[in-house]
Amino acid sequence: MTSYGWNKKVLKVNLTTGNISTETISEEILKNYLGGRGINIKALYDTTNRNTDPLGSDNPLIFGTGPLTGTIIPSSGRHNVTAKSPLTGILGDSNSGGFWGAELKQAGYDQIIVTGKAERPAYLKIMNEKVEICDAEPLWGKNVWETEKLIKENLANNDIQIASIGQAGENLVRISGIMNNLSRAAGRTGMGAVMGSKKLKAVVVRGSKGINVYDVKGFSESVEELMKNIYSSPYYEARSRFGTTMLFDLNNRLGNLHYRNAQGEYYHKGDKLSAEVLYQKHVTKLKACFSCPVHCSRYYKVKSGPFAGTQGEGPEYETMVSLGSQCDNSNLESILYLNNLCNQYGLDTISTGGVISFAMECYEKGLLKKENDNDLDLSWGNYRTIIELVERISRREPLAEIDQEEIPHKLIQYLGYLLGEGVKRASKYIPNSEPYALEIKGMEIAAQGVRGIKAMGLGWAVASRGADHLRAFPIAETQWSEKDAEEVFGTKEIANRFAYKGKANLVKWSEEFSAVTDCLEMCKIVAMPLKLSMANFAKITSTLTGIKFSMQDLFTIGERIINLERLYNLKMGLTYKDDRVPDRFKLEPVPEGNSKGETLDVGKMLPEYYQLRGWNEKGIPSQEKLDELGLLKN
Amino acid sequence: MCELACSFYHDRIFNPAAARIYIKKVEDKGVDVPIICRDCKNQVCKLACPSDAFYLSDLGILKIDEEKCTGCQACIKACPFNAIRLSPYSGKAIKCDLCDGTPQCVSWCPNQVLDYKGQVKNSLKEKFTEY
Repeated sequence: MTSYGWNKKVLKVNLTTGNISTETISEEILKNYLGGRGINIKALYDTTNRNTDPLGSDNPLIFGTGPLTGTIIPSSGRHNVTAKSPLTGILGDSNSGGFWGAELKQAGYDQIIVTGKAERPAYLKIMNEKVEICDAEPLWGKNVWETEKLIKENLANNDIQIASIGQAGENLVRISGIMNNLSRAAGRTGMGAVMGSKKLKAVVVRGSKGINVYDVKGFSESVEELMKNIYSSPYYEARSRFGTTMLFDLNNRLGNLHYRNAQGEYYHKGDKLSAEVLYQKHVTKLKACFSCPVHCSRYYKVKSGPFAGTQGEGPEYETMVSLGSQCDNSNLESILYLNNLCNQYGLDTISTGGVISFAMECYEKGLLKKENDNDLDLSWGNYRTIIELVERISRREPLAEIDQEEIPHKLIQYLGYLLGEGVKRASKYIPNSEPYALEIKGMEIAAQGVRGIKAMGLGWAVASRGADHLRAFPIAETQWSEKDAEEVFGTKEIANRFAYKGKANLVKWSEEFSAVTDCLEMCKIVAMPLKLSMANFAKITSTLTGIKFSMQDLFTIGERIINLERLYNLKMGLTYKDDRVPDRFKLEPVPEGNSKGETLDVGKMLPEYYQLRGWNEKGIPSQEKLDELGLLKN
Repeated sequence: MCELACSFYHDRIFNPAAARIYIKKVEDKGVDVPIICRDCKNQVCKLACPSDAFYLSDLGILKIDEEKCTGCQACIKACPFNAIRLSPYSGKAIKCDLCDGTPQCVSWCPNQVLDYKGQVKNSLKEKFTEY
């Protein structure tokens, strides 16, 4: 029977036994969870519990694609990687672009579930139906770029797509990601360490099966509509030239740009890191992910200076902040170099910048001290130290037994190990450093100055994978007109970034929109910012798959996924007390810039948010809500 | 996008492996090279074909007669530009046929990298003498 959109197939690989099998994904699951993030959390929820060791053999590593992935639908070629997170102990889930997800779809699968642990380093090779576990002994210890090159050479095939880990993932660094196409990352929540714990170096895919369309006419109309929306969006030009780096200047102007571990939210040297400067000085070519007309990524080459010869793809806005202004590092070329370094070692740039700026603040406050002359100098903006730390974090040299009295003097020597554990664990070793460990649910904060954007702050606090901007991504707050806001949400306060009113509603709506975007594996940079609507999604998914989805159906799927992720996190031991933001954002007013004086009180929005969600005052979904969504508590 | 548009136009399926245009990616240098029939004048594909399946279409580009093609791959080996491949569906050789005058790769390219000028009536030599 021909399948449309989905392949309706999951590939299951057990690395302990070497067993490989293919199973059908039921239409029931696909109708209720759609794809990508949805089918992944469903699989994770059903197979893990509170006792599952994130780095143990029963933690499944799940790769998922969506129904649209691999077709011409703009920006739909992404994939989600899901497992219980070694960084947070709750839901681990990360999403990446590039070409890998589309290739997996072309090979005939929607999802891969890897369990067990290989005895020796291995990689998985998928050529349509032919799936093999191959020896990766010669690849172990190589970085991501070397790995991709070697596999392509060994298989004499330039067209294969490779998702792999670098040394950071191999060494079980908790802030490591899974890389594909050299510079695309499923970075957050430590998925690289999960892959490393399985001794799985890479997943190599090549497919030529094709994806069928149910209603060719309706589909074509609908794609045309999407393309028209994208090309006519007022943001298209900036997005397609500067990519996410355009946000650097915007957020600095708004006073929402982390400076020195978010002590401030305005970077006075911001013009050195502006999107325009990067574009004029170093960008040689615009780059796109699979089937994307926005091509927001950029290839850069540094031609002179100490970093001459540095070339690669990116960097994204988040990286510019985390390794730039957040560490008070205004050396643009060093950020490009660091971006490459993180991509090669397979580190999440957001968390990496987070842990390093934490260490720098500890040094500023005297909690970390230099003991020897050759100890690291952790002064703000010292990019040589940042580079050295990235290397030490990736190597993860083991922590020797330290005499308690020697703290804090010896700690600086073991920073590589400590920081690789994430700020939450690291702060346990450094006395009095908790206030500077900016994390939520164990994950380092993203690059939004949430004191000046309240909905984003609430989005962070309730995000199912810890401090994260993309779970809700409530950009209406800063990018919509008052008129649009009033039309959709009934109050123009939505478009007032300092207001609390209506923001709980905005976050709920945005979370559901974003969940559907993640299930369809479309790009968030394209979907909401370029004004694609849920009506667009409903039509394109229906005409492609032949299953009728209304706009409301999709919102319900989004709601189902948010609730299932919530249930999962509760099952892992999380409570409503974890729906918070770091005290810095609550207690310390922004010192300068256009958000001056602002603080963030999530408590002003949280009760309303719980109520709108149908959760009780302790953030637990009511039986009524679960029945409505067809979810079972267990 | 060009590969997808191509396979969808010809086979009503999204499959880059069945496209008549191919983007060679050199990722470590950040370079992408589109590979497509150059409509060269050597026509070694036509010469190599043992079944005489190649013919000149109204648009002035060589096309492959599916009835005559046996899928022997002689043309694929002969083409110095790697512009011909085997269809995973028909098992026959496929190459760019200009989509009956509306090349899909051109219409879909977001950056106008590709352009279609239609059939050039005059040879270069004639053009030179014109000016």
